[in-house]
Amino acid sequence: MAESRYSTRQSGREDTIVAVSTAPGVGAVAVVRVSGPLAWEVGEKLAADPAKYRAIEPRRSALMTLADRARGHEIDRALVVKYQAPASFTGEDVVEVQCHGGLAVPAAVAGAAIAAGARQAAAGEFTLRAFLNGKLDLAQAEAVDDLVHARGELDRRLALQGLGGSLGGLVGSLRSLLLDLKAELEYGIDFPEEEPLTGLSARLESGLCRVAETVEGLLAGARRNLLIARGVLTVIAGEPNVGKSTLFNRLVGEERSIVTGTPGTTRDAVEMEAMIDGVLFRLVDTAGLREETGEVERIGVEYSRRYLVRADLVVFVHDVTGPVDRAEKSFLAGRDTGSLLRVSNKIDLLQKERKSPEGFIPVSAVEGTGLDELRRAMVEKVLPSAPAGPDGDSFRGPQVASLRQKNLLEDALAILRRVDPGASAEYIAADLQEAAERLSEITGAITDEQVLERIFSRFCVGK
Amino acid sequence: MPVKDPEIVVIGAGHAGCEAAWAAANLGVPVLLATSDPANMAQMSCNPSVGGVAKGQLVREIDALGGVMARATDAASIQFRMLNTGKGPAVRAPRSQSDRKLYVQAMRGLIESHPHIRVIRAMVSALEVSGGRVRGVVTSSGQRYCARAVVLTAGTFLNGLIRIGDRSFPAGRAGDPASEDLAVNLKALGLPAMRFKTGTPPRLDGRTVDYARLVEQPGDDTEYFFSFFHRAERLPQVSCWQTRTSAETRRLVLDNLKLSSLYGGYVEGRGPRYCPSIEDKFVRFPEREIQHLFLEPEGIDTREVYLNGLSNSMPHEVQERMVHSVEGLEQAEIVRHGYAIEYDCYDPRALKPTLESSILSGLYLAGQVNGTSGYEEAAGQGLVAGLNAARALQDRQEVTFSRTESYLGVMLDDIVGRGVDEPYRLFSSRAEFRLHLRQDNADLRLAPLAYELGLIGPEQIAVVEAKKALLARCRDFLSRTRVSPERINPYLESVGSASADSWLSLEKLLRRPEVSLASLFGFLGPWEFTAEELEKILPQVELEVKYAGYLDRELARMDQLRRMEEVKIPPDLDFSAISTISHEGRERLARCRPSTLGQASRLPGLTPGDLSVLMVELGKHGRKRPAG
Ligand SMILES: Cc1cc2nc3c(=O)[nH]c(=O)nc-3n(C[C@H](O)[C@H](O)[C@H](O)COP(=O)(O)OP(=O)(O)OC[C@H]3O[C@@H](n4cnc5c(N)ncnc54)[C@H](O)[C@@H]3O)c2cc1C
Ligand SMILES: Nc1nc2c(ncn2[C@@H]2O[C@H](COP(=O)(O)OP(=O)(O)O)[C@@H](O)[C@H]2O)c(=O)[nH]1
Repeated sequence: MAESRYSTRQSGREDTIVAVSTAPGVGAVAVVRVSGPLAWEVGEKLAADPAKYRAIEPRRSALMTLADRARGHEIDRALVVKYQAPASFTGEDVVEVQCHGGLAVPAAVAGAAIAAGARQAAAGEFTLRAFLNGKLDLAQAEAVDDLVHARGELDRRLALQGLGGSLGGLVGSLRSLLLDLKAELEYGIDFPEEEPLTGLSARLESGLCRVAETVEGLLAGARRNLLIARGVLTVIAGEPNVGKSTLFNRLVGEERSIVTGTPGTTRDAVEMEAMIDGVLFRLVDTAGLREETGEVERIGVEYSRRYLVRADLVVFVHDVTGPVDRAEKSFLAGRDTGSLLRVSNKIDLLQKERKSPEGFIPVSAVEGTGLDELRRAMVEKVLPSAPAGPDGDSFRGPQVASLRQKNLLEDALAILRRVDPGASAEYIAADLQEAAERLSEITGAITDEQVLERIFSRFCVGK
Repeated sequence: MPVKDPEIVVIGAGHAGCEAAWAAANLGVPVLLATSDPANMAQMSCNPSVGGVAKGQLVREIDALGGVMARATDAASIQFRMLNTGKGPAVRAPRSQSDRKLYVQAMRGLIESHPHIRVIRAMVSALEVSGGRVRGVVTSSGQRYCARAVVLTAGTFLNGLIRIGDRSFPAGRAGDPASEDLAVNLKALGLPAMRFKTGTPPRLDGRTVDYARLVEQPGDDTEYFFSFFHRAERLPQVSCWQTRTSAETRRLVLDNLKLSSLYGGYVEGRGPRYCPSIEDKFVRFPEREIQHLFLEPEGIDTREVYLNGLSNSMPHEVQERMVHSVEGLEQAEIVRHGYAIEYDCYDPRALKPTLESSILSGLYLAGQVNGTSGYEEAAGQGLVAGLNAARALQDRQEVTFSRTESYLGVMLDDIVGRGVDEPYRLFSSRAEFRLHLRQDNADLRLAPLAYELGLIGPEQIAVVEAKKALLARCRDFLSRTRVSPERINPYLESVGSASADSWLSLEKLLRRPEVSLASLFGFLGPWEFTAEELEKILPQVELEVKYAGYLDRELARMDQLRRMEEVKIPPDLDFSAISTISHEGRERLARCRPSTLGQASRLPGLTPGDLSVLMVELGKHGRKRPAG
């Protein structure tokens, strides 16, 4: 290219991307990478203690608490390393987070990064950036990684396809619907002298609605899939002496005792696994905490800060012989009922005429009554759409198999939500295009002249 | 001043040829423009109009780059309309109805008065080639002209074959001879020929049209100039007229399909889907029983009227019955019948982004010969070919255009990078950065480059700089100026916007959907800006403020693309040897031979994985860090 004009490249407009760089679901440690001009800022928004974060020197790692500040809870303690452009693997500013493996923690880190202004990286995008910035060796390594990733994702997709339908098929049809709508808008733009289409805004509205609803449905399933893969973190909460430990023992099975429980990632509490109807529950009892702190009044606060916010499911236990209101308020303030079960314990002590309060599952942890109902309710909370039948019913239909897919769907949904139906067609078209591109990333399809194809095949154009 | 030995020969003074000659001559290179009939210079073979969506933007770009098309358009404009006024500034597009004769006259005046252009009447019959390089041309009368570069812009003339019903005869367009020898010669030289076709509707005698039964379509009242730099005198404005086909028209077409060249199985070439013949429309869209037709006057002092929408290749007597079946045209007389034309063109993937042939160096191709269609598309390519031919002779760096900065770049990238399988036309939907590629800012986008290249002079760039400064001043004014709630609330109430409870900047106010810059300034008084100034910049200021989010997103994508464009793929890279690329991907790459990573990324059938592998491969081939 010619002349000085071309060499004065504007830069710094590149956006900031994030991705979990280790295959999800395996390994004890996961790496989440953020790259781009805002990487450091994004990292800062993840740090529970921004001052500590700011003090980290580039290329030095520091252990720190990460928090989702928007939702006001902690995510994990993780190793954080900052790299400064161009001395990073992409040649941009980079923040690398080494956190606990599995799905939930990396998902939460990536999710918080997205909330802080990053975008889910497209396939091969880290490689591309590394390459464009002259980081060849790294780009090469990254390219191999991309391929491994692609294969891993394919494996999972195939595995899930065995259970349900094809996600690619469904997402492809959503994308197709968006491009159909875009074609209608483009027809109006490129052929203003033709007959305008009638009913376009209604079709647009219903089409967008349909896509958004389907994506929401997939996302609801995605949460569940990720939950199932890693186990449902279930916290048994309630005031002292209501019978939490007793219930815990019941649920994990008599043969396991608290004493042999391994302190898990929750550190101060006891975590044990229980498989119920094929769903893995990671039950957390807080007995250890109680003994250590001995501060009964502060327990509610401790609970909410440390465990309740992270729980996928809270089993709130109340002593049927005692009052309800106060306890519930202190423990459960702000918790959505979608992930909450209420239990009335000690019903064996109940006089005949008295009943357990409305909305509470009556159990007796000591006698074992009501436990089957509780178990069923726990599974239903996780698989709300269809209680797991013997044939794994609830997995019918396409499944989101990876965090990447989930993030892309969330991106697409956010774009669709910002569509202003009153805006001029070119802006709506831009949003539809962008959303379709995000969906293409899931299916691996490559957008082409499809919009024009659609126009020519559907509309009689040309005077 | 007589032109000495030409350095560049341009074959054909169509829309592409005129721009090619003009651009090269503007760089001071002597040009010989050989054309079969100078009286037909820049003849509009089809409809007498310039511009439209995407095309209008392109004409503005050509003007910003010092081209001639906008000037000729302004000089011949007998009706102007801004299309898409109900939409945002990005897709608003100017379209002009041209007086066919005046257009030719204006173009001829400009071209023939250029000191570095010599126009001759001659039919080129062959290229002179030696050592893989073009050395000149030979005309049908045996005259030889040496040249260091040749620009081929022969339009629909190469092996042109007109078809009407079952009849066919060689022609470049109705009334002009085809160019057959040259077509044979080009094929022998190894240019990859394709066969395309297009068609045109009948022209009517306006005196025989019953206008009282047609719907009048007047133009806009506003005065508009396609040219940023030159002001033409405004001609008397005329109206177009609208009518529609009847059930009888449809029946005639469908009953006589066998007689049409298109449906009788005579035509081999591929035609444009966006410009279908009436046969196509009735066959492919059976649910649309009625088709709109438009009568466009061909000029002020001609009675000829172009019957837009009735392109066909039926035998003459069927055409006459079809015309008579249309409301208001019962008595209309056909002056010239519609016809289809097939012609040779050459696979544009065998071109460099400069439009130089990668098969024969020194040969540049532009216009219809590259498989495109349309005057504007041809003109744009002509400019690029002429510019680069001249710069190559001056040993200066080539100039390419990116999708990120112009419709011109979109077109070049589309055709050279991906090839065409039907006559290619620009659409705004082809431009993924169209919010930035507007008719109102073509000067800001391209004039600085044009000035640097010597395509425009100091007076022109001064105009652009002034506009730029005005824009900056207005943006600054909006962000700097704050108004009190007392002052602004009556206005906000009048436009149905929530009232303010603190001082607000005008920019903040403008972000509200209910607030428009015109109404806001109308209420407050324009303050530092004259009405004339505001008119120039209002839409873009508004766009920049109100749709900043969209613009920013586009900018980010543009940046990435631009960087990928900077990564060149060596022309000798053997794609088939990269076994880690998928089979389909390799095939695509080998066929289209992308010259940059950006082009490769747009090839359908190439996965992100393929691209990653390609990047690694490029790295092995010793790619250096891009500069900057
Ligand atoms: C019947 C018809 C219908 C069309 N319909 C449409 C349409 O519906 N929509 C649309 O967008 N476009 C249409 N076009 C195409 C439009 O006319 C062209 O795209 C445009 O004119 C191309 O410009 P150009 O400069 O490439 O070639 P042209 O305008 O064709 O100019 C070619 C020039 O080269 C000269 N020439 C050719 N061979 C030689 C030679 N050997 N030696 C010297 N001079 C030579 C010719 O005299 C002519 O002046 C149509 C064209 C025709 C003929
Ligand atoms: N009668 C009766 N007593 C129970 C039941 N569940 C727990 N308890 C008793 O309540 C007391 C507190 O139980 P524990 O599980 O330690 O409560 P925690 O403090 O909530 O963990 C113990 O004495 C238990 O035996 C129950 O279902 N019925």
